[in-house]
Amino acid sequence: MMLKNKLEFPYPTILSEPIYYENSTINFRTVIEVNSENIKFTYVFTINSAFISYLLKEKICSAYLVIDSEYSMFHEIVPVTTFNQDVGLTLQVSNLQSKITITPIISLNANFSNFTSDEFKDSSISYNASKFDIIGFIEPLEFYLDNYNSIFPSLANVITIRQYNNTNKNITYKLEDELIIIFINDVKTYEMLQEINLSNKFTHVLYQSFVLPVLISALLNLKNPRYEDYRWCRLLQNKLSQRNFDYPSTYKQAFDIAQTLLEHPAVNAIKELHQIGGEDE
Amino acid sequence: MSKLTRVSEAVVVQLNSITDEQIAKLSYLAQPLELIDPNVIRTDIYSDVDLEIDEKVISKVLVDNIEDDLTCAIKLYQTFKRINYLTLLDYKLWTYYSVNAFWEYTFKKYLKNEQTSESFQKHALLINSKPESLFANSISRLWWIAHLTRDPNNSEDKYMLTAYVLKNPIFIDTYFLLPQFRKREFVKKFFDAYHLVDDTMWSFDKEDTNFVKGLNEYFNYLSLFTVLDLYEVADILKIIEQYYEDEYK
Repeated sequence: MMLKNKLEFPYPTILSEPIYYENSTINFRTVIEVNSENIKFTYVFTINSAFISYLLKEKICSAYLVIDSEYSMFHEIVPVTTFNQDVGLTLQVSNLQSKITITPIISLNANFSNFTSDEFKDSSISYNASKFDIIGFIEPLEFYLDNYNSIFPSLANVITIRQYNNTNKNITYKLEDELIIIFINDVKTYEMLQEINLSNKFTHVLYQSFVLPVLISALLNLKNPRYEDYRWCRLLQNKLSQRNFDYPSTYKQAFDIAQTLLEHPAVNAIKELHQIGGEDE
Repeated sequence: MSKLTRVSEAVVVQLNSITDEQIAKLSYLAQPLELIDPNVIRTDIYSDVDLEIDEKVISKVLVDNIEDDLTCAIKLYQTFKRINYLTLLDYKLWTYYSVNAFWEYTFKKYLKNEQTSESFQKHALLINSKPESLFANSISRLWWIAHLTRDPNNSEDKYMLTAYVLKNPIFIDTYFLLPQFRKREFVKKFFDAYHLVDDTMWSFDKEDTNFVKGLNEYFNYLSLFTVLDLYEVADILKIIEQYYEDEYK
């Protein structure tokens, strides 16, 4: 769902920040679990507004979650009837791929003349609102299904691996708009990687062998204007800011930062390999 | 009979960089795959999909009915309808059929046709994972429109709406890009309302290109602050009539 700049709503809209309402807000929190068949959301839709609670109770308005997965041609609108406590929602993975967006909204069920409330910042003005108008919304929650099948939980939303048919035996990578994609150019190798991933072993060996160099390359491009609007670039910049790192200018600096972001893959890879040696004995 | 097939990712990447000049030189015999690096693996099959397709027979149906989009759409819909949903979204699947198995149809329908713009010619061949691309590719376009407009409850003619939409391709390039059109229920409600619009007193008909483009922009605008999904037939009809009143009276 595309919502334009909230300032263009022709009446006060309740948001997660008290901008048009005096102190009242709405909020949405969710926990997402993914397995091979389902995506399970546990969410809490919180209403901190006596006025909106009253409208919901009187069925003057209703709340919904608008769920989109553009690349899956998926678009659903799910009514919300329970507030301020945990609610479960399950979607089938077989209908979805890549990016999923959830937008919580509240809309009117009928035309509303003299739409006004003591909770509005300016309660002296009344408005006319129409049936189906959105009177409350929360910034869309976005997540990428790829990340939940990824071997890189520490780099969620930044790097993914795809299979790419090519006679070239080398692993290749591409800095795409949304994600850094590492291509495995052989079906069998890719399938073996999936098996290793499922076994949850040798994660750091994988990091060290081919994720680390790709990450170093990406880090060295953080100051490149070509990538400044790319999503992975902004996410990596945030990660560095959180840790008070400057954007690296040299390979040495990037090598150091990449190891930190990947939680010291070389050291942990040595431990993983040493453990196999122990099991053999 | 052939197993369900797709082109490789490498083919899609290379086809994406072909120029309008290269497209202009393509012919029925000079197929797009000949522009691909010979070292690249071109196609592979969906080993997990239990479906075999008689490519030659379907290709002949498409070419023999090149001016009859409805017959082509029904044939393609029936051929691919058992495939799982995510496979039907796979741009590598549709690219294989548009540039390889059903190339003769794509070429004669879109490349040989002087009325097709250069940008549309490329879109007819290639596809990416965005919905607008699914509605531009020569083959996926027909499948997805049949899927979204077919009415299994209409015992007289399940493809009545499919025929109407295919007769007015401007609908596909406008209304079908709204997210609400990914749901068949909304598509049906929308066209039920469209059917009720009385344009007998208008100086143009309701399928007029400029009218459709303008109305589509108006629906886009409304979707910024209202929930279109909840609109019923009467609400949609009211919007269309209101738009005509405001813009043309």
